[in-house]
Amino acid sequence: MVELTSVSLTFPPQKARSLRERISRACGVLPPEDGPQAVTALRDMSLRIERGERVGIVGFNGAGKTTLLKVMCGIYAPSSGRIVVDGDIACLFELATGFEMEASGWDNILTRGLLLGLSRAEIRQRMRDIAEFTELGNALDRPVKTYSAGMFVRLAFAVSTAISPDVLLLDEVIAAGDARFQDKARRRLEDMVARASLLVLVSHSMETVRQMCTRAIWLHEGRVRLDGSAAEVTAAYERGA
Amino acid sequence: MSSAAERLGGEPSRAGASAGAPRAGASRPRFGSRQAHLHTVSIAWQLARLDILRRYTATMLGIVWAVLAPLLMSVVIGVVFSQLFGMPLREFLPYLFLNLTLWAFFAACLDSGAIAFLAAEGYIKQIAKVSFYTYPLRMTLAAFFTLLLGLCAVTVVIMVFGGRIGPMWLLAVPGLAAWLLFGFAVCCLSAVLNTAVRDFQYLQSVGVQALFYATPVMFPAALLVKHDLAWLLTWNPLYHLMMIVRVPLLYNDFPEPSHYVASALSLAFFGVAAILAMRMARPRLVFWL
Repeated sequence: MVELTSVSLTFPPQKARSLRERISRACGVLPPEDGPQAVTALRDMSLRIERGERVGIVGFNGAGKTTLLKVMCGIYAPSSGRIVVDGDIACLFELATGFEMEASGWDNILTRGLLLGLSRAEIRQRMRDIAEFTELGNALDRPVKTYSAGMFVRLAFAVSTAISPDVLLLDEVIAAGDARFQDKARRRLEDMVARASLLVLVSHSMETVRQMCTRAIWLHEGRVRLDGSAAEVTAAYERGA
Repeated sequence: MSSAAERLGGEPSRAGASAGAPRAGASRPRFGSRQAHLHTVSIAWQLARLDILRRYTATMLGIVWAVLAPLLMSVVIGVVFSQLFGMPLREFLPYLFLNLTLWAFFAACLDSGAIAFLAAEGYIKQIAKVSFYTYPLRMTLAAFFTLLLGLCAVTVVIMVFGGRIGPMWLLAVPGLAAWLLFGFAVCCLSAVLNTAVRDFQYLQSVGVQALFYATPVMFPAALLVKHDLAWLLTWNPLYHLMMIVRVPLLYNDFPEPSHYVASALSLAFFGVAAILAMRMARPRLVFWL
């Protein structure tokens, strides 16, 4: 179960991050700050997602979809409001960041596994499966700084999908490697989704939302515009978009 | 901000464990439990291990270099300063080498702390529910490893110059534990300050340098007392922390209880400051990166 009560999130304005700039502005050497205003990404949002639900989040770019996921899983703290999550939660976003560049593929599997909450024993147990899935072979012995972009994604994807959270938050369909690998990746993702008891999926593809979700929420400028069955909401979105 | 959100901070609460069937997957330890703390240490150690490997396999001399460099520096400074202070080299060199090794740990905690969160940006923005203490701890553990290596070399130097290993050496163990905790606290503080204010680093390096010359690292503490600067010793936590390691190792003796009291008070002060800073930073950190 995931429950949001009057959740708002305002990104703090990108103020001067340096002492030099702050002091110069205070002394009048530089003009006073008239930088960009704070951006409000979520406005007073309340919603409740029950166990067993598969929810698709749709909306235009900048509607707050990814922000909503990041608030749900605790990466962003809300500016106000309250979030309750029942069960283990995990989220999958763009996967091409967060590596130890000088370390080998193996060490990066271990590191990421630990960060995702697996114990060393659990990682050892799944190491072969993860390594096999990446299809990186001997490349796993090399420092990951020698990897191509596609290889990074494979590595991160293989580890990130080796866990079984109760609550799974997915951002977009993760484009991983070549066509054949994408096919394999999709199957693995579907497996992971099947193991989770609650799914929240952000997608621009109405097709995917209709296929994978039972319920859909249309976000617009940080508010819920429409909340209903996947068929109903995707149809309305397609008419509106 | 409502009180509920404040309490939740960056961690959505988990109302009760999952009531469903036993899960095949990760059963993550509950936040704040002993198990969760152990897991934090486990992640930090894995990251620190990679840092250590990278540091010592990148150069040809590797680990030897880490010990050799401060030793060479101690010899050069030792020869000059022992003349200046009129202290025999065989007394002054082990003193200097030990002090520099401890100081290097303190400086490393501050310096690497400054980039602790910045270097982990990819993890912080992507993976939920990792304690933010993981990243400063990673830096502290790597620096502590170097400290232990340095102490091995210090031991050799002490024995070469006629010192002996006695039972009092065991007293250095709680002393080093205090250094580890102190290093962790200042590393957390450095991490928060330097992430919030990006050019704090410059101010910090000037401060560390000033502190270096105010602390009896390269000169005997008695020199300060002689010049009516004893208060510089009284109020310097590093002096007391150095004494609780130095006295057992160099003189095979009990440190004055006052050094333990002062060290404990410093630890409490910096520990509380670090906890408060981390708590303040937790909901904001991701926006600072």
